Amino acid sequence: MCASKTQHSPSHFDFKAMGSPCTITVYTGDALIAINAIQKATAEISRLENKFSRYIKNNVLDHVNQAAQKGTYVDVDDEFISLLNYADTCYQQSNGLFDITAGALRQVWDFSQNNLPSDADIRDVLQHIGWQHVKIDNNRVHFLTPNMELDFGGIVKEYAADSAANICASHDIQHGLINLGGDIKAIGPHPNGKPWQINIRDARNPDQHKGVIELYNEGLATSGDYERFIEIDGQRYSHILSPKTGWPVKGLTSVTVKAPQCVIAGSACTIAMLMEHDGIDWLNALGVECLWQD
Amino acid sequence: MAVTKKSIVKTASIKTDALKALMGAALALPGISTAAEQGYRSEDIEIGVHHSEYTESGDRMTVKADQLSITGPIAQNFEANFSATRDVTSGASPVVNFLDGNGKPQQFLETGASIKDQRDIYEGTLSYYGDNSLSSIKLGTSEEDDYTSDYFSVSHSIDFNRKLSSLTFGYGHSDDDVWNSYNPSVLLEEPSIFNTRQKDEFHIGFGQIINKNTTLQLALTYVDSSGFLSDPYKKSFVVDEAIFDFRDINIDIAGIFRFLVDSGAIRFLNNSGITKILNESPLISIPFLSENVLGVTKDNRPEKREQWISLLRMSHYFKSTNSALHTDYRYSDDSWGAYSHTLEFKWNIGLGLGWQVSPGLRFYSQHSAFFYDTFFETIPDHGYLSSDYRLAGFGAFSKKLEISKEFGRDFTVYLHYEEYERQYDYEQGGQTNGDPLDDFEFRTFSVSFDVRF
Repeated sequence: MCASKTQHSPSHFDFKAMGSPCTITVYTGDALIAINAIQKATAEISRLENKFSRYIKNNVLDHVNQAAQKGTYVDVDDEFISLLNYADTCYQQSNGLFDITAGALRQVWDFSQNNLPSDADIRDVLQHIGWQHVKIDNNRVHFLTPNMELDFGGIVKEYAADSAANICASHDIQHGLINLGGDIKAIGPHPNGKPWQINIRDARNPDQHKGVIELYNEGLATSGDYERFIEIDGQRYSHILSPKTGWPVKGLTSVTVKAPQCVIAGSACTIAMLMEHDGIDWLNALGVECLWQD
Repeated sequence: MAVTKKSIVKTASIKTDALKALMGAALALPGISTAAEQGYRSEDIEIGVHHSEYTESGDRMTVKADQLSITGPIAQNFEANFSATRDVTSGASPVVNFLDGNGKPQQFLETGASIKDQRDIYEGTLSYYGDNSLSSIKLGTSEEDDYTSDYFSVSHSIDFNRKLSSLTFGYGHSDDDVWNSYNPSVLLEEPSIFNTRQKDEFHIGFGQIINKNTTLQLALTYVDSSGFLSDPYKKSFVVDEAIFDFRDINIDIAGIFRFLVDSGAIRFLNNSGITKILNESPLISIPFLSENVLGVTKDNRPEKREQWISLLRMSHYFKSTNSALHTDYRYSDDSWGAYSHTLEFKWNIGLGLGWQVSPGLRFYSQHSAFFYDTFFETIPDHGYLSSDYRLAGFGAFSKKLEISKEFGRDFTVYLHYEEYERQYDYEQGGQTNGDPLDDFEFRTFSVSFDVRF
């Protein structure tokens, strides 16, 4: 047996999940291994989408948000708790800017309509935002005030990319890329042994590339105002909303971050956007490679 | 058009506190941790400080040990560990069994000043984390007043079958120098000797994840020791070697020796320099006299020993109690005949908030070596003899408790307590050579601190 002579041919699978176009690419000499890995990985992605999507009724997140709405408590599983713990770490590390309870702002901001909410509406919603109003006791989540809402944006899609990549790796895939709408996790290096070369699109000119980031078993995520926004009177309003002001953030156009895990890249670029002009300094202090446009 | 800027961190292996916090929380996510749990290198530098105290019953040995260990990542895939240990042994250990007036053996500890031995151990390990493998090499040296050991070992594990199975191969070798720290001022000490011994160890292990909560491990180790394997401080009493059979003339040698020790006569001989003069006199050889008058004969063991040690380990995680039960059964076959069975249980219970409690029980049963006896009527035909209690038939029961507490992700404290009780009649499957005179107990208490940066 000689590993270096193994022919690695790519298998691609394109699908739509978590509201985004997704691609899984794996390189292996055995098509059955590729199919098996892709099946298991897509099953994991849809499991996480079904569990944590805000757009699915009666899923786990919906049940939790019903308790959040009433201001009561709810029991959740270990995975949910570990995601809340992760969100808590992001909250601590961003001085409260990354706050999954900011989901309540979706009640007044609708990015499919070209309307701005009123200051009064925003002030009203802000009263129900604040991670400090959520207490975790073993597997029980307490919402200390009503009308709250959790939103795992910037975490779950990225976590799904990591988890899918791990599933591929545990099914004998040594080279591959998981791309969930721009949230990317690499499995090992490219079959040629070199890091994956990821072209980063220009935020305002999507046909153009603005740079390359190399990935070796690492994650990459981008946050920017080109994905979803409202434009009113020539002013772009980003879909990234500050939990402090209730208004879209200003400052950076887009940020791409590379980190050991995609979930870290995802939350780090969201935090950088929330920090506006201080975002890049924060990323530099964090010690991650990034690419940005301001 | 917006200008694109890039910021590259060159030293990706140096993690800031914020990134470490995010990494820690991310690695706790189940989809990420499943891949991380097996053989992923820690990115932290870990420093451990360990202190333990071992006390035997009946004013025998106490050992105090201190250890400092440091582990850290190097480059992309390597991890290095270095540890330094110093232990200090004091007290006395059994030397010979004399017969009392009834012909029953009685144990005698060192007759002179109690021993105080210091041992320094330095060990370095370099590990390489491959995609589906872990390789490591260890070098070590251990030094005492009367013993040095230089050793190395290599091991290689590979994961396969989608990381559900693993195979480990290992080899180790040690070269030891043995001598006795001869003190001519102490009665019954042997003149200096210098000898060597070698040990080769081959290991093969197989691990299998049976399901999410259960793992099984099988391992086989072959140990081949050769050279001077005797204990230069230990003696056996051989009736035929004595000038006459003291039992026939009703002389209580054990009683006489106890009187000489208790009355301070031997201490007087040693301290006054009389022992030294006698030992250094060309006319008298105390070892010769003690062998040919009293029958006190040197410990003499075969120059080769082969052991086969097989291990079966089952670990099961109980989700309801957040605990894991480890059950080990070990059988050690021995060309000296001192084969043994060990059954051990350890239960790790996570109590939340970083607390973990691990009670454990171990039962050990050993058959006596073919050349062991508490005393000998005559030197056996094969010429080997030993009355070292460690080669006797016996059983032992240990109770352990370990408590650890993690403070944040960076600091862990461990407390460990063990009570060991050795009894001649605990031996299973028929009693072999041995005697309750070698029964003893010990306690160990240790405390460790681990800090991660």
